[in-house]
Amino acid sequence: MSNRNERPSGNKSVAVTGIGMICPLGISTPVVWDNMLSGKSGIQHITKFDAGECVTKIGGQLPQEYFELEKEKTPKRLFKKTVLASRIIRLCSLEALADSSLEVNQTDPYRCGVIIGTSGASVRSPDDLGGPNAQRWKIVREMINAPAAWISIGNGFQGPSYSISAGYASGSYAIARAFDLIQWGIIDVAIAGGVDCLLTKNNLNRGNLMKLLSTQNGDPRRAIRPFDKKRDGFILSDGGCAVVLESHDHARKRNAEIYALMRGYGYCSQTFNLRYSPPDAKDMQQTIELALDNSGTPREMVNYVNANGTASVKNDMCETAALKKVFGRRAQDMLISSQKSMIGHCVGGADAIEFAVTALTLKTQKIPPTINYEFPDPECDLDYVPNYMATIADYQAAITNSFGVGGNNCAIVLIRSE
Amino acid sequence: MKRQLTGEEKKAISEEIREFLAEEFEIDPSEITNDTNIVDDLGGDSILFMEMIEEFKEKYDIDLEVRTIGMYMLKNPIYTVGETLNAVYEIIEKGEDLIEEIGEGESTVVQ
Repeated sequence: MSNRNERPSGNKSVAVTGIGMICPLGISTPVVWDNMLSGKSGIQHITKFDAGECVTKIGGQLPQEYFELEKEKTPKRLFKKTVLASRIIRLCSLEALADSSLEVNQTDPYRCGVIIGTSGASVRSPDDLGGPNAQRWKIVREMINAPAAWISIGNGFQGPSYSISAGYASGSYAIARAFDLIQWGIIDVAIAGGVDCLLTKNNLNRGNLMKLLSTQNGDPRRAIRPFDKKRDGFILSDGGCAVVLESHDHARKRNAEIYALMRGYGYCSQTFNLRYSPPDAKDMQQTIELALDNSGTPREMVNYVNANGTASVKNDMCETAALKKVFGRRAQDMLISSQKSMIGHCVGGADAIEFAVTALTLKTQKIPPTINYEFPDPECDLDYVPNYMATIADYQAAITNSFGVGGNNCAIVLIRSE
Repeated sequence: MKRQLTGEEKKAISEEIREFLAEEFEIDPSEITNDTNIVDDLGGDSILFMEMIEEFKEKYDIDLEVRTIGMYMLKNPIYTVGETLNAVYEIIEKGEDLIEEIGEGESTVVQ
């Protein structure tokens, strides 16, 4: 039994035509991408608050220039009405729209939607109380749909606009829903993505209580170590990513430059444990298989996997096991990498960033590495693109995985655009 | 309690409102006239009026519930800066008498 799509997407694809990213590695897609290819880390000792009493004292803060950009691009009145998460994703969406060259006034506004994923915790954060009198704005600042609403209002997108919350998989769930809306013929264009800014003292303490976070404070840049034998958890980061998705026809008609084509996705909720997959990784396997089957993608077409790769001891092991089960021996020849090694975990923003990176990988045929990979773990024995980027040739399809606390799993298949 | 604003007081309020709007929307006060539409021309919103009243509450001893001001606005829609000024004058001058004028028991349904 499975929730296999009764109406697979067949030959219809959805084009990725614009990308906007803000994370610890930079405040624009080209900068983030270059830093990823160089294997840079955005993790540092926390300075935005006093983390002295926290067990984990390091995190992925936004670069200082983000706050300069925010000041320049956010009208004063909008600033008062928004939380940081809404402002980050709004700026991501502006970059993505500009990148897509989409002329909004030449598009039917009722066929343009906005779907944004967020854990919700950064929209209603006790650490983001706003300036004086922010209480007056409580409703509009803290409504869970705010990150999507400000984007649709700002750009005149009058199709469906809402937020989706699915833990670490929020961004993927949002992108998957935007894909559905385009496939179903309800809209032609969507801004989709995810955002979270959960790097706060509260979240560090809670994350430490749950033993989710790395405590390798000595050298922050080497703390998050996906698939490495000495991995001990992830690092919290602030960030988000928005992409412009269009029906392939819509993108072709306006001669848009296409990064990659989204072919489909698979969802699966694991019920074994709040945090961990069962040892046989059945749920992860099922998620990836659904994504392949729903999109009609032959397994042998996939060469790259953008891993969930959180550096959690069990999850990295399970993800490796799931890939071996799905792809069999071919798994040994595939390339698998985790950008969380460089940017940490942006929670609802992480998988949107990883989706965009997967599209960029197919476009440029370059794969960002998994940094901090030094000590092989016999349980994680695939090619994780250790420490240095890989240049590839003729890779046609890739998968991006998101497996989250709460059991929300999503895998998305992208293919190269001709 | 009824009170009568003097011409000078009205002028001072008018200037304060212009300055408030100019700072809020990052424009020059000279660009704001009585005909300026707060939503269409300035990019304002429905919360702006309540925010202005909050600013003036202490200064002009306005002791009205948000609900009363909200009901007043339903009966007297405000679009322009000129209409805003008149509404602020009326709220300050009439104070609690505004409640009687609106009709305390009357239910107003906005479609």
